[in-house]
Amino acid sequence: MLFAQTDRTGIGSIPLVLMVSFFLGLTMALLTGYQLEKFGTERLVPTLISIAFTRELGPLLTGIVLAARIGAAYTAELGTMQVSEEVEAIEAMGIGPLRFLVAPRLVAISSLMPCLSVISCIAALVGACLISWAALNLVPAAFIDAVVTSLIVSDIVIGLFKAVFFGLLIGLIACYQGLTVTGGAEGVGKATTDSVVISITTVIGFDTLFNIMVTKITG
Amino acid sequence: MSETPLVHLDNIVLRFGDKTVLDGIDLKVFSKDRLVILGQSGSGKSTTLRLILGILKPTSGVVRYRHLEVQRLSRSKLNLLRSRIGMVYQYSALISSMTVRENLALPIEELRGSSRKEIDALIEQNLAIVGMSGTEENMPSELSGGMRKRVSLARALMMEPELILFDEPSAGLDPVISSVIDELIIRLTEKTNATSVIVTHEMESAFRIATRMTMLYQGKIIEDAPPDRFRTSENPVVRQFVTGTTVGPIMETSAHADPPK
Repeated sequence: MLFAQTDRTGIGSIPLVLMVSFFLGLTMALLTGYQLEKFGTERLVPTLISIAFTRELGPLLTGIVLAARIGAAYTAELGTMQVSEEVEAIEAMGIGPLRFLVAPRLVAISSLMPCLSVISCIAALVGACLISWAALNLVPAAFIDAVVTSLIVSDIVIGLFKAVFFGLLIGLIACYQGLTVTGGAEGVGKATTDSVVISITTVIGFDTLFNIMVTKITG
Repeated sequence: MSETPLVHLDNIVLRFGDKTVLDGIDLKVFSKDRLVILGQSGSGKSTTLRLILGILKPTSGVVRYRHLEVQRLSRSKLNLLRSRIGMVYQYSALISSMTVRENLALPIEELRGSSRKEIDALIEQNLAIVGMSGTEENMPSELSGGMRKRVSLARALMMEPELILFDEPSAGLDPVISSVIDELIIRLTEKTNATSVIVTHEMESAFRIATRMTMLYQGKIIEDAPPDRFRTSENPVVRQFVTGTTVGPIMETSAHADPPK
């Protein structure tokens, strides 16, 4: 069960996370590069992109992608099982639905979120590197050098912590929405929509709160 | 000294909001009984099974399984108790994403941790009992309603239960398959010495299976007797229910309904 969930959550989400992050990194580098070029500071693009993605956009973007792709699937699956009495049947057999249905999903999503977040950061940096080379005359070696110099351990740790936390939030919301479905097929549809909307809003809300707290603490 | 019941629903009241589903019922299930619970749709028959399993808690009264008070059990003890009870659902409730083999292996893998060889042997044996050998790799969606019900019964047998609960075992099946399921229930309970509680409103099926019959009406038990006495009951509600006539005391609209799911 855990392996199946891990495979679907992790491996299955890589292409989408890669693609979205690559294009967002590319676009960000292009737009910020053109603005910074006016002041002759386009060499700051690698620093900007690397910090933005490791601390903020990597986990956030992965969270949004997973809320839409995996959270929705979790809710729809568990909701369908709920209305067709499968969840009750599991309970009636003496198997805890939380242990059997929820735990593997939570473990899968919260442990794979950091991995996917790292993949998102790398894809964004590759996109940014390519466009910086093509449009800003910043050679890849210089780009990589700037990224390595600008990144500090705390940025990476904060990003990974956020990813685990967001994964847990998405998993909990999706499973709760699925297991509390009432009203047949219509109920499953509504719960799935609610799951995605609540997950994305909660992830962005907690991200903002977290940033305010970290900024206050670190000054 | 009188026999201790396997299950005793002692003065059970169950309300959902202002709706009273069960109004002080007292029901004993004795070992090796094949007790059929009859009643109109929404009379609280399936709810009674859920009370026995501890899935629902009564508003007042006590559900006892041997000497255990079901609603007072800790989660782990309740799960242990449930593993001794098999449940066959109206719509089978097989896990749709799992094959027949995985469905049957599920309770034993999760609760006993037996070896693969033992599990396979048990699956083969139980599928043979219900006449479903060779369907191990099928998905539930590839089976007909009657086949799914038989697989569901095989799953219920995996933990060698002492009590099997059947929720509308013949609902939605044609008369022939319905008779096959009825005969299977009789054969199985005799072979395994299991006690069974069967919820139905199919009279023919009820008389075929039951060693004892009880009828719920407006939240109360209005008759509890062996099939021959049940058939000749003087109670006008029971008589109308048995004969299926439209003239009689049973009201079309009942204030007592099953809880919303």
